[in-house]
Parts: sequence; structure tokens; C-alpha cells
Amino acid sequence: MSSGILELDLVEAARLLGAGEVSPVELTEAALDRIEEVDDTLGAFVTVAPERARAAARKAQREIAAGDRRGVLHGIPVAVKDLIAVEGLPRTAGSAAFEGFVSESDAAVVERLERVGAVLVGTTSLDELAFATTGAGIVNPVDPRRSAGGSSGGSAVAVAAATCWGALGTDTGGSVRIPAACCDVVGFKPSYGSVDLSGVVPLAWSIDHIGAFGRSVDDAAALSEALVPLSRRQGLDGLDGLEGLRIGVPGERFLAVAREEVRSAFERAVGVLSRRGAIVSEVELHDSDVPLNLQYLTALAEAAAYHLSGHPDRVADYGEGVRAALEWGAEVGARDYIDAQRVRTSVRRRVDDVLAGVDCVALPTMPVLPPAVEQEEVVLGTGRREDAVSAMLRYTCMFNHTGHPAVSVPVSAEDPGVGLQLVGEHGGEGPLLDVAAAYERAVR
Amino acid sequence: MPLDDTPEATDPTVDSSETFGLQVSPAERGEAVRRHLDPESPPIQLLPAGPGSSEPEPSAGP
Repeated sequence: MSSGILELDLVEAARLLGAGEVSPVELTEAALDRIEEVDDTLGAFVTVAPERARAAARKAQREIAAGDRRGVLHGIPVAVKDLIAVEGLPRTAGSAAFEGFVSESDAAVVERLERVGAVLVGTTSLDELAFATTGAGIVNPVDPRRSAGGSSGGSAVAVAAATCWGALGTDTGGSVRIPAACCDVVGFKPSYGSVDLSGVVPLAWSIDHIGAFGRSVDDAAALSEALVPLSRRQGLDGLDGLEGLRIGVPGERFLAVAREEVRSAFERAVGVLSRRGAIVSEVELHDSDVPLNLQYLTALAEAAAYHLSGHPDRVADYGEGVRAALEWGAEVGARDYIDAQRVRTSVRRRVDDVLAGVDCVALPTMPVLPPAVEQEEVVLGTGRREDAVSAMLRYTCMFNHTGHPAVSVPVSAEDPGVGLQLVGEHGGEGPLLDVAAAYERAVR
Repeated sequence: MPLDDTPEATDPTVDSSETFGLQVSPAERGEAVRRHLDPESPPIQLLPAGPGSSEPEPSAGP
């Protein structure tokens, strides 16, 4: 029974749970068994909390039996990135410098998950302090030779490997959408400021977001609904079609950095949208060099301010890569930071202007395939050689700086590692997820 | 999925003069950003801080 349970998506598991055909305890035991079976190999979890999970499952079971079911997540096993505080559990933030630290209270998002009865099975692995995008030390279950992506790689892998039905991550430049693309799951980042980040270790205050992973758009939406109102037009079933939707696609200049295999997969995705009745038009975004420069200047300056001022006694214990990034961030001058914020406003206005004319923007989640494990450099579509982290960030980080909601959906089963990124207007999470769900139905 | 996008597997015309990531200095990235400023560029305008603003915690932890 347990292996059958694991094959259910979240929405279906919740339906069966509501019908009394499966129980929170059964779901939780199946998840814990699966974690024990695969996680020594995958490394998706930092901390597994079986006793806590079993107690929460028993509580959910009692509540549901008493007629007090609090929605689709009640009794559903989920996980959160080990950057998010869970009372009584270790929070290492992926750094040896914080081993042994135990959170004294829950992050706001954990409180919200518990309020709706979700069962937390553990905390997931990440790149140290969320600084990178390659998912070091985490195995991609789709293709172990490839990066799992990061920095929320553990959450993506936990969902892809069916060790839980949903997971939270953080996204400061693409750290939800990138591993989602790498692991062929859905990763969704709501609008900036819509989710309470208290109790979450910051990377860069002005661009930090929380996001959700699911095996499907509806699963990611179900998890997100606990954090932010979505106002989907047709609930979790989404739209019936894409007829008449206006979808903006960036032009050749923007897409030139994308590798051929990504571009051809993206063109197929746009073809699907078009054949289903969407009206596709070209839109003009800033070249990806611009947000990438904003990302370095803003993220690393803010990270340096947080870590060097907030934890000066710990920084020496951070990994070499993080220390180098902090040193770089500490060298960002005030003028450079301020000019970056001015350009950032222009970039945001451009995206707002584009979205005034279309329902959403579609672009690849990354311009490259997931790099090979430990591959430090990749080659862009232009032939230019670039470090893997920068290349992976190119198409996602713009929307951290503009704050627009964005979701990555697998392009198709024939294009592993390639995500279709859809971006909507501020506060337009529901309609954006409706489009993503309609696309997903079209390619499944 | 073939591992066909490693640098070694691509054509030899790669521009190896490029520098990467942290090797591009903050000042260079600042200059690159400034090229997108013009007299009409808006003043500094941060996104509004809401309940989603993360705060450093007064604990010893991260």
C-alpha cells in the first residue's frame, strides 16, 4: 500500500484522505519509509523528524475523524528548507558554522503550515547559507550525473523522489525555480512581500522570497495557498484551456544566451501554448546581463551586511566560497549599490509595462541544461564561457529584483531539466498558476 | 540526457577571455549597471517592505 500511496500527487492524496480511504498516519509512515530507503543516497534531508511527524499525523487523524478537517494540507507530509526555523529542530542553514543550533520558535511559514494541519517530516538540504545554485552534495534523482540545482536543492529532490508531498524553499535569485527545473518538478515563487519571512535566515532582504515545490502545479498551489491567498479562477482545477490568453515571449536578443537544446525545448513549449489558443507575441525585456549584475551587487552587498555585521564571530567558519562572496559584497560601494537600485526600478517598470499588454511572460527557467555535478563552467548559446552559478541565475533573478510572481513548470517529459518559466503581474498568483496548470495538462 | 553541454563538448570558438562570477569586481559590475542609467532613470525606490521582510533574529543562530 505504501508504495502506491507515494505515487499519488498531493491533491489526490488529499482527496483520498478526505474520503477516508487513506489516513495521515499511513501517509506519514509511507513518507518516513521512503526517506529511510532513499535519502542516504540522495541527501535531500538535513534533519528527519520521525517522532514529531508521527505525533502531528496522529493529531491530524484525530481531528479529521472528529470532523475538523482544515483543508487540503491537513494530514499531508511536507518538508521545509533548513533555512527556515522549526521549533526544537536544528537549523544549520547548510553551514558547519551553525551546527548544533536549535530553533526556539517556528518561522511564520511553519506556523501557517501547522495551522492548516500539515505534517512536517524534516528539513531539507541547501547550498551553504543559500549562496549558490548548484545543490552541492545533493543527488538529482532525475539524472544523478546532473546538478540538482540550488539553493533549495534538497526541497526539490525531496519532492521529486516522493519522500513528501510538498516542500518549501527560499528564492533570492532563482533558488526555487532553478532546482525545480533541474529535478523536473514545479517551483513557484509568489510576489515579493506576500509571504511573511520572519524566522527565515536572510540572504538579501530586498530580494528574498519564499517558494513552494510540488509534483504538479496544483500541488505547489495547494502548499502556497497556506502562505498567500491565490484567488485561482477555477480553484485547484485551473483553467480548461489557454484559449485567448496573451503570452509574451522575449525576442532573439534576450534568448541568444540560451543553449540550442534549451531554445528548441522552449520553442516546443511556446508551440503548445499557441496551438492551445494562446496569442503569443514578442516582448522586450532587459538583457539578462542587467539583472545578473543587479544580482551580484544587491545580493552580495546585503548578504555582507547581514553576515559580517550580524555574525562576525562565525564568518571564519563559513566555507571558502561563501567567505569569498562576502568579501566581494563588502567591497560594493554605496554608489554602485544605489545605482543598481535605480536600474532595478527601471527593470521593474519595464516588466510592469510588458505585463500591461499580456497575461503573462514565458521564458526558459535557465538558459542552460543542469550542469554536470561539480561542473564549474558552462558555455552559453553565444559561445561565451561562464561560471555555472551565473548562467543558472540569468533568467530567474530578474523577477527577484522586480518582485513579480514566477513559476517553473517542466517543459515536457521529453525535455528533462528544462523548465518553462511563467511570470505574472504583482499579486496575480492565481491567474498565473491557472496558466501554468493549463500548460501542464497540455503536455502530460 | 546526454551530458553534451560541458565546455569540452562544445565548439572550440569559445571566448576564453571572459571572466566569471566573483572575478568581475564590484566596480566593474557597478559600471556595467550604470550604462543603463540615463537622465530619466528613476530615483532609488525600494520595493515596499511588508510582512515578507526577513529580519535578523536576536539569537545566536543563523
